[in-house]
Amino acid sequence: MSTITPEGAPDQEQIPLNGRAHMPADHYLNSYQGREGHTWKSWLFTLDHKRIAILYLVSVTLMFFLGGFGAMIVRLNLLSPHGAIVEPQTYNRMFSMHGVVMVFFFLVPVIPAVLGNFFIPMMLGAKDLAFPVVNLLSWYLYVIGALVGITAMVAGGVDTGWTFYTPLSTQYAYDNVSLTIVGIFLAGFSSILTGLNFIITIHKMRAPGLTWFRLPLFVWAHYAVSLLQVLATPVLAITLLSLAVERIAHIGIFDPRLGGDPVLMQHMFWFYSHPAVYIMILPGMGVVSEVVACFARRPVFGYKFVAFASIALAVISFLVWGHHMFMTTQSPYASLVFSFLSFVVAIPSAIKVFNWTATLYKGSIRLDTPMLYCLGFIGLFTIGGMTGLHLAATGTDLHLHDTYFVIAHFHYIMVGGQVMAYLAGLHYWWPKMTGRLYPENWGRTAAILLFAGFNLTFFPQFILGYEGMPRRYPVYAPEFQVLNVLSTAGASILALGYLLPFVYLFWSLKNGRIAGPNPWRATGLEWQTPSPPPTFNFDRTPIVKIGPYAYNPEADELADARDDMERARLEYEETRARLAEHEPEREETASGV
Amino acid sequence: MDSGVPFIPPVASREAGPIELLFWVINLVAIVFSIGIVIVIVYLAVKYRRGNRADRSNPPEYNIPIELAWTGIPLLIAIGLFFWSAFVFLYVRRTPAGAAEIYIVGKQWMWKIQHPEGRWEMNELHLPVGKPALLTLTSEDVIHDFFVPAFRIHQDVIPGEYSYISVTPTRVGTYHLFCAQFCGTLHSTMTGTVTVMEPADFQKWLSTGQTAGTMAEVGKSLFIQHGCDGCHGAHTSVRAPKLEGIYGRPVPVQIPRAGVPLDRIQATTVLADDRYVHDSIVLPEKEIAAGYRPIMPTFKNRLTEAEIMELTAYIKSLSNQPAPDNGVPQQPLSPEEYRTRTGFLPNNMKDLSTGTADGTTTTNTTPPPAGASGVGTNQGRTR
Repeated sequence: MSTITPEGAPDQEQIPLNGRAHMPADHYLNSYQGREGHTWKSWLFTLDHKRIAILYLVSVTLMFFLGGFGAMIVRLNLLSPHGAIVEPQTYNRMFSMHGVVMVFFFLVPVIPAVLGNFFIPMMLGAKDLAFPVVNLLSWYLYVIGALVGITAMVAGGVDTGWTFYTPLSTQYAYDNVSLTIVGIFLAGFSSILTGLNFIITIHKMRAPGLTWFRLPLFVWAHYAVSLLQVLATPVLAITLLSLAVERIAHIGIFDPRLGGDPVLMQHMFWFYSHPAVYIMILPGMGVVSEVVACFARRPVFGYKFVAFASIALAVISFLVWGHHMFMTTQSPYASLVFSFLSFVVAIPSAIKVFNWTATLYKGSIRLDTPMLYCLGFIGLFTIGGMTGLHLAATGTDLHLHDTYFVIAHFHYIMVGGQVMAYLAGLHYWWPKMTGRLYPENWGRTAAILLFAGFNLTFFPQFILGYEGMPRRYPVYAPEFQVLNVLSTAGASILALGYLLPFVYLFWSLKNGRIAGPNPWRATGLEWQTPSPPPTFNFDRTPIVKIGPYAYNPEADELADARDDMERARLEYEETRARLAEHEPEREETASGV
Repeated sequence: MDSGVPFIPPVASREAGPIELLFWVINLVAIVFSIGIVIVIVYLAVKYRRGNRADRSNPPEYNIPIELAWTGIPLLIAIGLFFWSAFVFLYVRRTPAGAAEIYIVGKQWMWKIQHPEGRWEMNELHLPVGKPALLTLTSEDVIHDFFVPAFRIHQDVIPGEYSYISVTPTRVGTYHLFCAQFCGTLHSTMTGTVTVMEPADFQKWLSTGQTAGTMAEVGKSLFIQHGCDGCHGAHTSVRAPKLEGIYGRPVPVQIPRAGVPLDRIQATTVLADDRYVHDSIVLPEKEIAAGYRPIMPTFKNRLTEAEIMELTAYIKSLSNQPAPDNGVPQQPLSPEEYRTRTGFLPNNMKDLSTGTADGTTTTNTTPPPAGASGVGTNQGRTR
């Protein structure tokens, strides 16, 4: 069942069965280029894609909790129609910080920079990404960008929302807008460099025999994402630069008082930010394809449809930005064209949902934590996608535009989709990244808690939006209170759900069961090497002969049986050894009687 | 303020009906698909769970007809919904004939609403039931959004531009008015009420309260107070075009381009509508009445958007009149007179003192005014 030939296969001594797993002596975490791997220098100047992925993991996690703090203040404040804890000014800064941090510093980099960075070279059978130094540079750009952004938002505050609509952001808002923009600008370059690195790596560094249609769908999804990052992010850079120029030099680009056009800024902003929505969901789709195949023990149904759906999403997502502007002075006929294309972009997503579901058919399904997250993903993503129809339809957008309906819709995609998929991927690959298993029962508890908390938080917001509650309102009409309180209650469950994995994953670093190279019996190349992997991933470059998802439930049963026997044998031997140790004592007590 | 059904906002306009119907149709599609997917997932996850006996022989790796079907059918449904939604959208966007005009200005953080009859109100909008209204909206500062959930309509309110939305209230009552586009610190307090009244009550309401006259009358006094009549007066067409009869008709203009002298630019025509009048007042260098020198000063910080709407109403009221003797001076104002009347002298009027009073021969050697930067010197053209 291996995808690699005997020449490339690691010898059996190195890959013990699950019953007797031990950590490899040398791996990427404890040694770096043959030297001691625990020094600051070995981490901060590392060129190893896996170490850089860990650096990203730590940084995006910190950003997630900062963004989450903003969300917490927002939700608590909405307990009362008059604003429960903070002034409108602070509230505005909090939702702006929540948006900026979550979008630019968490959702965009989270899966590509952590899981993509770690696993794309491994899935390709490569030693590293094409440009290791550029990879490290992109992390530094990200960190500097994040630090600048945080400084601006925490020290002074920005209250424009993450969308920076003009002329509010250029003529009427606080000075920290410029500094925040610098932060986002830098993070944008980090994103471009990561995308560039992936594209070249995927083109040039595939192992012998690894043709395009033998690539895991995770790699296809990341290829699509990288195209978006490289082509769309520069437009964000231009937009932000123009915004800064208008703020600083008072040159009329967007401000009508200076002869500019405020709607132009929205066109430019969404020309990046709509494709960015797909930057924020395509990687999640890639994770789901991997995990569903592994836990259903069969190939993803309709591999080519899923692969091309990723590319189709990347292409069409460039043509729908105008659906954010149906209510501006955009021509109604232009709006209709954007509306039509927005309906069309729903189709590739629908294909993926159907194909994942069909993958379960005749599978041999285990509901471990990653799979629970993935099934949650499919359900929530479907709801998020279907409510996108309401907003793609010009007719209903007339009513739902800029209400809580929109908030609920994109949180179903971004949180219900991307964050769920990220947690699925993190649990799935945790044994590979750290060499240890997370506690399964805690994992399942957290997955179920998150699913419940998520729905309780965001489903009431669909109704709130339909009832007419506009977004970004710290003070609201009293009839909206009941649903807001429900939503806040859900958010507190959600917060607990996020803290749990944080705690038990940390705990498992020292105390988790040792995983062995392939605890899920998955087929990807990344599993054909010890956990944690050595610095250069593979001892010998693997040679690929077959497709990515050659699962075989019957072979699994055989392997399970062999595992059970092995474990029983080990236990028997251990018991016998213990008995042998205690044998003299027993004789003594016997003679004493 | 409710519809009697929990969680459903009142339906109080002609436009709300089709929007509401479309909303529930899309809901139905969404619910059928979402629940369908969930049921299938749960069914498969239970039936094929590991250890459960089930037929797992020959799992299909792909099935092109089925995949084409679940690509094609959703696409057809999506296209169907698109056309339905497009009809609803165009129906709402079409203004019914005979709609009463109402002028709305958004400003951090309040709504000013003017009725052409002269009554104006803050954060409140009164409308007669059953009568279509055409709302003309603009903003004094940032982008706002006019949102009345009971009418099911949003319209962005954009500075420097007019946007329009029409609505026909169908139910007497009081409804929420919200600003839906984040507009700064007190965004969430930029709310108000819409009161829909019986037509007779509305007429009574309209005639009470203090007014300074109709919008056109107020516009006329602004026209004089700000010295517009100095150049645009009924009998003076030396320095500036007459405004009688232009509204709603095409007017010849020259659109300046950087680095090209104005007299080399071909004239074109634009429609003299609200936008044209507004831009001519605020950004006069954008389109220059063909054959005239670009001497119109900008009034962008001297007039509020509401005042510009009143001036527009006045110019509109002139559209069907032959030039009347309305008491404005027969000769253009001299810079001195202009200064006495308005308290300021526009930069681009200063050079007039170097030319002759009627402006026939001016060798304009001074650089063009700041607003018209890039426009070459324009040798005193006359008509």
